[in-house]
Amino acid sequence: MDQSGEDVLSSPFHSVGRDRWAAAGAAPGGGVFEVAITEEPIDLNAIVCRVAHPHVGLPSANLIGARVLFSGEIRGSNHGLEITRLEYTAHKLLAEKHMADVLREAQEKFPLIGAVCIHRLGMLAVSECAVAVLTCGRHRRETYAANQYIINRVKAETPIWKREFFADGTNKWGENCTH
Amino acid sequence: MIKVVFYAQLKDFFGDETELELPANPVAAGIRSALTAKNALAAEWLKVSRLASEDAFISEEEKLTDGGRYYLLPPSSGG
Repeated sequence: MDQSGEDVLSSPFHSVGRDRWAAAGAAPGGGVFEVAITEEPIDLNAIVCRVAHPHVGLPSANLIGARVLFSGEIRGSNHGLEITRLEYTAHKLLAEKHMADVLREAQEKFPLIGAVCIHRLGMLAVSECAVAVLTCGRHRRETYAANQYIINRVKAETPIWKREFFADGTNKWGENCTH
Repeated sequence: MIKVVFYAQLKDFFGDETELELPANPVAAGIRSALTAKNALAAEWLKVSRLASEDAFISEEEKLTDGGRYYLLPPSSGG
């Protein structure tokens, strides 16, 4: 394995489109639970659609009544300093495994029908999406709460790091943000 | 001999990776103490960093394998 863990991402993971998605559980009715680490721009429209309405075509079995999408994006300043770009690195294998664990634990805590979490790596420009979390449930209360639970844990615990590059030419490792 | 791979702030102290010669029957805690001895300026970051093997976080008591590759992970700052 190289230090990124890249070459260990093999059999347990399946690939859909350009990103490599890892299953993180299943729900009655066919709900999707998936995580991914990607070096490609995150397509929020595609993320919103990753969890289809289970049993679409059978209205009586359609359980999704709320869909919450969080997109964490690159701000143009931090602590009063102008940001030009951020670079994200990760221990990819552990990051993906941890994100999958968080989604499984979210399933145990909240009545979710589906959830997706994807994190971007590499150099990102201001306004780009760094992380997205989609949660789907019957009602907004638990769907919002589950989304916050997932993003809070991913930001605090998943082995991913950012380096901030400033307009004055300096850079520094980012710190965990709780806002 | 083991290999230790670094991330984020720890790269500034140790580079991408280093090799360590540890005493007989080493456990994971020995990585932290050996690295602190190597560069005391990194002590605070070493204290708050997690240890991992190839595919899992490990405890301080985890027995290390000769020739193994281990990872030191500073606090996360993703998102």
